[in-house]
Amino acid sequence: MKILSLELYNFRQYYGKQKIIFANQDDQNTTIIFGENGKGKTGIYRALMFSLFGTTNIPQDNKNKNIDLVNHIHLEDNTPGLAEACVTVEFEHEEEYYILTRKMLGTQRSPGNIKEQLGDSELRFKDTNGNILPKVYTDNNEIRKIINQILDEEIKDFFLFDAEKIDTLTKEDTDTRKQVKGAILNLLQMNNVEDAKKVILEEKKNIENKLRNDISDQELNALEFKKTKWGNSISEKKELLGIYENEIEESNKTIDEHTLTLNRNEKIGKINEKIVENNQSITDYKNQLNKISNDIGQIYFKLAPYLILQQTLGSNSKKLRDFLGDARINVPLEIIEESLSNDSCLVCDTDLESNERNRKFAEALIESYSHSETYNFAKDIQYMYDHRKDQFEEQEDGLNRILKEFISISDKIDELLDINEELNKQVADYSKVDIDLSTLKEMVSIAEMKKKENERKYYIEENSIEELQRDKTSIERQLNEMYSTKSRNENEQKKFEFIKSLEKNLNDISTEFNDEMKELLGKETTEIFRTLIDKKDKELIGRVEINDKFEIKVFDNSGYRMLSNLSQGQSHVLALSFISALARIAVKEQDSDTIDFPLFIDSPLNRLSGDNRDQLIDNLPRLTSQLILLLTDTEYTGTEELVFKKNGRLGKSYRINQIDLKHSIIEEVDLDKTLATRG
Amino acid sequence: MNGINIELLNKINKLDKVEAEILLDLLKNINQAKSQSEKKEVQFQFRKSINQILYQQE
Repeated sequence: MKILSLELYNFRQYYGKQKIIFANQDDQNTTIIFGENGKGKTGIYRALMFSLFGTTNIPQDNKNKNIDLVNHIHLEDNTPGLAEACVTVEFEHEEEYYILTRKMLGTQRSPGNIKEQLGDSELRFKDTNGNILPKVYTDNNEIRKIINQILDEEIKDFFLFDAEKIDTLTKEDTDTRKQVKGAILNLLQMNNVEDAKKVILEEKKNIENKLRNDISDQELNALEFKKTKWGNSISEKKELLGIYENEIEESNKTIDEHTLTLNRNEKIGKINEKIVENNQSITDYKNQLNKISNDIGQIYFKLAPYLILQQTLGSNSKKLRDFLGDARINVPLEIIEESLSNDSCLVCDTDLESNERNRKFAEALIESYSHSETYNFAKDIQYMYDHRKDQFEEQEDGLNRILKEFISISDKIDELLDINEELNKQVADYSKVDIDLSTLKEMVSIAEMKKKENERKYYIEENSIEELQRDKTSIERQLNEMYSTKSRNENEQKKFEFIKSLEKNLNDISTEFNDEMKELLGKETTEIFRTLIDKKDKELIGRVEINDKFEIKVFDNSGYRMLSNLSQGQSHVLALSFISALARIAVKEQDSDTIDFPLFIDSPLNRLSGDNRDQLIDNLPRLTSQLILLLTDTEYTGTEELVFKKNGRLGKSYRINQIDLKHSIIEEVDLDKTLATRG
Repeated sequence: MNGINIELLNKINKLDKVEAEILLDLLKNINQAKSQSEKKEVQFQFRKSINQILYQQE
């Protein structure tokens, strides 16, 4: 099946005529309908459901809220007369082209007082050249039959669905179990097999009645009586099993609910403990800070003169050197003077009497030697600075270290104060529920006891049913033998033999088929999950299993159950994989890996991380023959648009523009133009 | 979708031809029957088919 187009006329917020032509090529099979929340995406989903099945409600509708299908502007235009909304869907299935039109009529007596009723429906056909054929159906029952043959309305939600709602499939409660079981039975036609068994059994009873009339044997009557009695007992006990199962589920709910509250309160206790612990740390840190502050004071007191000196000398060192000039002489003046008076250099022993040049140099030295006190003072300062520079730097480093420690401890205190603020908020949130904890604990232990008791009863009844079933089978065998041999009505006997064989064969097929389907479904779900999930999570799931109670069980590679450990995004991909696997198995008519039906999904990416989105965009179009996605601005950003365009599967894209609350229009956007409104 | 599940079909086709035909007919009719009256009709059709087949065999 491929949906070719959808035409809306004054339907919901689509005032006037709007048309969407869907991509339906093998390579370009994806259509995107883009629109911010509230602009009318669901209106399109609703239009498709209405046109195909005549349904005026969709699963996500609030049951207490009435949904008007006729456009409100159109209603106002026609007040107080009759206004008409109309949707036409064109689709192809097994080389037949269908045009299905449904109408809804509405009147508005006064503002807000709107009454609606279903209008006419019409199913027409087209040939491959687009010519309308004369054959036409207008009877709703006939149309329903034809559409159900193509896509059964009981399973439509597995092909046309709101992805926001499908997560329930991976939850482990009774309602979900029923949903999953119903879906599997429906999609895989197991319910048809069960119905066939009932038809055969009914016919068998009918033949048995005829044979019994003919035999009139006391033993046979006694056995029949026993068989009926056993059958009734089994039914009663099965009903009891259902009751116990519900009781166990109720106990589970009570336990879960109260344990959650208890955990929350336990959490509050733990959070409070953490706050006290943090406060203690803050006090300790503050004491440390005080000590460090004192240390810093003392160090500053000791080092202040040096630091000032270092600072002053450091910045004036060049000036000092310039002041001392090149004539900085390290030989004391007294030595030069004594050398001259002795006519011999006290440093190098040079004879200054005979060596005139050296003597003049020494005299020049004396001459140039400044005798000012400033010079000597400057020289002493320079000397001291040069020799104590390292010591100054070392002391400065020490001070810096201690200051850094001060800052780091201050930061830790700030951080702990922030954490405590957040923890206090959590405590305030959790404390909103005022509960008596001891009562809750008591309720949990009562529920646990009740659960154990019901599990015990369940087990006893289950065993008893097995025993009765064994007895019943043995009685049936004896009866079958009697019916086959004792009657003289050959014709009915033949029928009886035939129906016995049919019953046995169908029972065998049914058991085998159910087991195989469940196994196949688990395998396919695992495989599709690995295709759709982000690379890093590919090995996350070891296997998915559908057990005898039709529950989805997920195991890791070590064989441990792990459904509750999956993140929201992973659960979402798992639910999508499960639905795709169901759809794939249900419509599998040959060895093909694709689903030969459209998947029409509302908001499939909303709950997924970026990597999972990319993976889904890349692989979902490959799973099915046609993919139609309704996407919001937050799930279809520039990044997703790039991935869609890169994989080349995108065939058509539309944007929903809202003129006002009662009026939206659908605009086709060229594939080479940007559709996303967010980066 | 309107046909019988391929795996189920394969299993039924392994049966004796007459039984297979009857079962396939029955499943197809069940698949199509939605209303209560249509479901009753399925039972009636089934009875008729068995009578017919056995009559033919004679």
